[in-house]
Amino acid sequence: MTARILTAVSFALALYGALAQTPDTDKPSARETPPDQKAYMDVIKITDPGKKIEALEKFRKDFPDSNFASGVDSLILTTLIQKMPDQKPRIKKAAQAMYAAAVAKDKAASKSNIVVTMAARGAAANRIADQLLTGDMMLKDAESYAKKGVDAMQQSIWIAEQREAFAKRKQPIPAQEELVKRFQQARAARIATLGQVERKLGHTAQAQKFLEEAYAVNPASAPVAGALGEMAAKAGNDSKAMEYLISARLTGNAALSANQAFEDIYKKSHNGTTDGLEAMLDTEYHKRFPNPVHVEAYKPGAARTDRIVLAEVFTGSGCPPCAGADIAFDAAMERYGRKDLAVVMYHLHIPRPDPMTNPDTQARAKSYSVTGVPSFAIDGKKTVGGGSRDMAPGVYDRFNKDLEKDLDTAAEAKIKVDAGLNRGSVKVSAAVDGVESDSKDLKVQILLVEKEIRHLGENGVRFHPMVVRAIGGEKAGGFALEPKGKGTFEATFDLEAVSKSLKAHLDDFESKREGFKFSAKRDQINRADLAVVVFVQDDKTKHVLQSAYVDLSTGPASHPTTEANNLK
Amino acid sequence: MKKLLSVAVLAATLIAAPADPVAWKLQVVSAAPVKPGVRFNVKLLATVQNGWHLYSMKPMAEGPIATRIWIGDGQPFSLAGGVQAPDPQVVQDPTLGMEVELYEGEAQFTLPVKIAPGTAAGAHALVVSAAYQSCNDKICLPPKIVKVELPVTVAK
Repeated sequence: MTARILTAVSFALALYGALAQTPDTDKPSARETPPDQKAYMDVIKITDPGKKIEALEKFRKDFPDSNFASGVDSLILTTLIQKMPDQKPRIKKAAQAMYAAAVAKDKAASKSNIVVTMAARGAAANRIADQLLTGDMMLKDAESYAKKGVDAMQQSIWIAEQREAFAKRKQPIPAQEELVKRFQQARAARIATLGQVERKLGHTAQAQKFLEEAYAVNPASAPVAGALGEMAAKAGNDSKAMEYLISARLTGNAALSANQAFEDIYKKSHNGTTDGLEAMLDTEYHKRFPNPVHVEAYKPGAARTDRIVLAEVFTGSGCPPCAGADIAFDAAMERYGRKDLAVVMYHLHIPRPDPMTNPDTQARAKSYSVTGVPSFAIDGKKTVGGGSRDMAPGVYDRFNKDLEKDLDTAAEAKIKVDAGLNRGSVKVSAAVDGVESDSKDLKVQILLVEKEIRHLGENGVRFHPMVVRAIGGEKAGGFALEPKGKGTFEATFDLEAVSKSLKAHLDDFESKREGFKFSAKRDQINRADLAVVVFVQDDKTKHVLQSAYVDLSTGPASHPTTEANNLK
Repeated sequence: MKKLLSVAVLAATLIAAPADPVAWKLQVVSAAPVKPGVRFNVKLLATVQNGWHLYSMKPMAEGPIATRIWIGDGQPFSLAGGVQAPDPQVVQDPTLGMEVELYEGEAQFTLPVKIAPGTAAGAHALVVSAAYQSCNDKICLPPKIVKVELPVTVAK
């Protein structure tokens, strides 16, 4: 942390230069914030639309060279469309100004480019069309801009520009095949906008053509799948509609109208209710996203010992590469029973907010010096990195060798756990004995976990197993154990208090991040689906001596904490 | 046997964390003499390792944390204007369902800097701070703040 790299840099007159880069934990104070950034942040907080537009125009005048100024046109247009939809001439003028600025930018860039670029105008046109579409207004204008956005996407020019941009950034240029694929994906987003505008205009055949073209390239696009589903529903083709609408719903980003269409069709075949809807989506999720890791039930060999292996996983539901690790551990839990493997998942707000994060999981990450997610440790052996869903088999292979080896390695402690849920509290008593380590850093950790939370995160993972809800001990730090010591350690988790603490953390997070709201706060605890994990660990090396898992499940019924409290 | 196991365990725990994927470097642009009260430019060059990216400076409520660059208190230097950033790449993020702005490879930011009047002649450290977050296809890093130093000699 204190390492410094010093490189001499010479310069002409009274200055000399050098480089030093050190990480730091300080946060910028308001006084330290660059003036344009501060002004911009102040402007976007204004709620009165007229004053906001006035302030945006003033910002552009005060800071014409600020890189925040490039977004001013778009913000003015958004504000007009969303807050002053009756002012059509003004909206038209703002859109024209935004497009004209982009054309001017293209012209300036073309002077130094190897090709005549249309990149800025294409992006601006698509953005204007998208904003008008969202506002459901001036759809003929939206159509015109959407077409401009598509027309600006010429494969040969786009690829030439990409090549030039990669060279300028001193990056290796991807293969032609990869560039073509990226072009198709970028163009599909523009085609999708045009398709949605045509749909709103009632040009069904054209809309169908464009949307299907976009869907073929990117079936995970919620707006495209939703629009196709709604069109199929309108045409009376319920089965086709359901195919598309389930796709949209499973992304977690479907439009309200698409979700409504989905529920309407579902109700038709379910006596007018949505009973069983989530269960059906669960089934569809498993069908559409089968685990790519194929495992067989574990059969212990002659060398199997009494050790219960512990997997600690640091993850995030808004972390794309965490999907591969999450799915790999799903497979491990399928292969091994809980008498062989205990898994605990510590959720973190990396890179995006995760509503299953709590102060205890953050404390644990700090204790483990976690430098990124996913990170995982098998009996304390830490490694980092996951990948996309289809990379899960590689992740599984990486940790499973350690796991199998540990199953045949004798435990270095004995743990006997008594745990139960009584009157809203989980009480845990862990008797530890037979400790072989003479380390001075031994700790007994007692974790309360929820066995499964259904939450569709931005990384597409729908089910989150073994979510750590609270950790025993002062500041979630566990309980100290003497070298080769023994003793009984107790922890009590008041579920109402834990739930309140989870909510307080999420509320606090929202209050500190301007404009952010969780789509769902997972602060409710399902009392029927809890478990306790206890382990003895060397807090310094993180080596785990032995673990224990106690299932507290009481049945299939769900009793969120607040509901249960209301029933008292 | 047990000792061997302990050694192996310890070695495994020492697996290197991912190296910082963004290297930051400060350079002076202006060749003019620098005196108290005078404004000059410095360039902050971010070199992003292949496969990683750095998000742009535009805040996104639902998206990843935007890059922030500033000059902290407690030094004779301060920003004389806004930080100039290069045009970012605009990429459709399939997991967010929205466009995100980011940098790959090299990105050069320009900072207009002024020296407080009355600053004593001699060597001073200009410290620029940058807060950023980064991901690649295998791992996402938490938000991080780095400080980059450039010794500056202030003329009489």
